[in-house]
Amino acid sequence: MNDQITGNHVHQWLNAYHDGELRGRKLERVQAHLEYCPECQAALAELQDLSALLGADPLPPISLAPEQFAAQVNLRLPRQAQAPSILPVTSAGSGRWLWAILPLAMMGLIWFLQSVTWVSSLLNLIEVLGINPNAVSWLLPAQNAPVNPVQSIALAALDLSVPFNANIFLSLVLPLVFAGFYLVWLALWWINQQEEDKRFQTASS
Amino acid sequence: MNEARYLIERKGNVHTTLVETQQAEDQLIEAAKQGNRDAFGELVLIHYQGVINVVYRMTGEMPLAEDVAQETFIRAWTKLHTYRPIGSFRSWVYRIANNAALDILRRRKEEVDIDDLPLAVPGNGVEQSVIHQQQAEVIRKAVLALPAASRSVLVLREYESLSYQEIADSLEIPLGTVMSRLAYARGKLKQELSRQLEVV
Repeated sequence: MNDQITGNHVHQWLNAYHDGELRGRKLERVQAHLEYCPECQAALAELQDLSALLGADPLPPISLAPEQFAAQVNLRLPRQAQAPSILPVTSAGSGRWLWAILPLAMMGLIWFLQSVTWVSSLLNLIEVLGINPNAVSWLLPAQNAPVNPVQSIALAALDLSVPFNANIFLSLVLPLVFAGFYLVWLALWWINQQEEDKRFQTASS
Repeated sequence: MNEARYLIERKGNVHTTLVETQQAEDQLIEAAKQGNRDAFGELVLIHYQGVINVVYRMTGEMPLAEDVAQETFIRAWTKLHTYRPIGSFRSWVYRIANNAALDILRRRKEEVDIDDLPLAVPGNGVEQSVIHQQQAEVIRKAVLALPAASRSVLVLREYESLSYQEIADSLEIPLGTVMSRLAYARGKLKQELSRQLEVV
């Protein structure tokens, strides 16, 4: 009704209307407008005529029968070229999980080490304050027992009995190492995504 | 009442058939991805006519269209592992066909000298009037004279009845661009044909 009053035409929607691409209120609006507007009716008729004209130029006969065509294509087919992925994680299935598992595992490790730091700091504090002079021994119950080589290496590395060293190691070096790991993971993921996109794009080139 | 029920059932059956056809095609694609040539052959049989049609409308030459269509399917086979069922397989194959046709035209350094094109081979020939043939040739040349980008959209819509979304998927362009290119192509054609067909 508004269109009738203002005289707005619907030329810009006629192509979509002609192709059956309009839905809902837009479709209703165009239909209502077409009922009374001879100019838009004429424009629509032109579009219909054009489609009819284009349809009047049929596809010339194909020289090969369908089966012959398919057979010729089959003869020319190379061996299936499955483009290898630069990273195994691009393939479907377990590889995709790997992308998620890696950072999660890293986060888990950070949380574990952080918890160990907090617990050891707490025990050291208890010992320093004199609440319990043997508090650190809770953390290392087998301190006086014979220690196997792996344990001794791990303890030497963390050196939990020396709070300053342990804290320096855990609070400064480790985050940097993990940040490095994270950046490498991010870079690999980004490269992989680029490769995936490129492969998808080149499918048609 | 019975007629309405019949129509609903019929519509339901058509829908079921379409779904089954789509599922069958998905299975063929999966099998072809695993290297099954027979499955790929079935896909060729389903789509070869549409692919030839697209290439013919883009290049204007039938023997060339058949060659390029074969090339299209060979490219599709080698790139099949990159196909993702986001859009339809038909859109994907038509994109390859369109690009293959454009490659050929580019290789020739010109977008086909439309005056040198051979006359279309008349279908079952005898009854077709000379005027009809001339008219068809004028239309074909007018389509070929369109810029490639608009022609691709027009061909996919007018000759293969793809929806706007399928055309957008196929040519990797936004929906709005599909609409503007189609409007441009039709406007240009209307202008050209009204001038040319008056002469004929």
